[in-house]
Amino acid sequence: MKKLLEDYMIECVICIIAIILIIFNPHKVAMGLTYAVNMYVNLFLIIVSVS
Amino acid sequence: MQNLVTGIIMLTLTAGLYVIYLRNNRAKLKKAIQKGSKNLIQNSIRIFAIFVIIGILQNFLSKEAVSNFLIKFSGIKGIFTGTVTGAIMMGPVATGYPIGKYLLENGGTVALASSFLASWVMIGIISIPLELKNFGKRFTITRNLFAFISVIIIALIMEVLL
Repeated sequence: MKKLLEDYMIECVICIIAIILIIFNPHKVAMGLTYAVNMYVNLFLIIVSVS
Repeated sequence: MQNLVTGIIMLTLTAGLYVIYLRNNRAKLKKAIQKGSKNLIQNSIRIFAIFVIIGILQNFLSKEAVSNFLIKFSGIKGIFTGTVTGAIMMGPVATGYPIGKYLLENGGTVALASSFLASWVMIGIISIPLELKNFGKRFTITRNLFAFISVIIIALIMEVLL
């Protein structure tokens, strides 16, 4: 758990920010998450091959 | 569609390299698969986190909100505000052109618009985790610091020239 926090600290902060924003405006956060998933799916083949 | 074609080409090249390894050196192939899968998991988490923050920012910081916020500043204050706001913004810079146009049409200074657009291109606060991972702390800090300074210089020169 501690190692995970050390390795992905900024990602955890982003996750916390997203959770806080969900409370204020869930609709906009949902749209943001949809955008993120779409972008990830679009670039998945490139991410796999680069990895 | 373009991403799909690029992805397929890159995947084919990677698969070709794996086939070459399969024939020549199986031990190296095993090592490459292990390293590749580890990289895939790490990169996926980082890249997805960045996409999430880009998506949320795009929805929370609308073009109108950013323009109306920036138009209030001018002079050195405007340059700094434009630089910081541009550094937070993510995505293709072409989406920032309407904001720049709106700023210029509504009395914003040339320095404000140019600092905003230049820092959008050169400084990426959101993508810092990826930069840190790939290039290290020293490189990331130095590059962003020099980019910040050069954005201010560019804005000042633009203000004088135009």
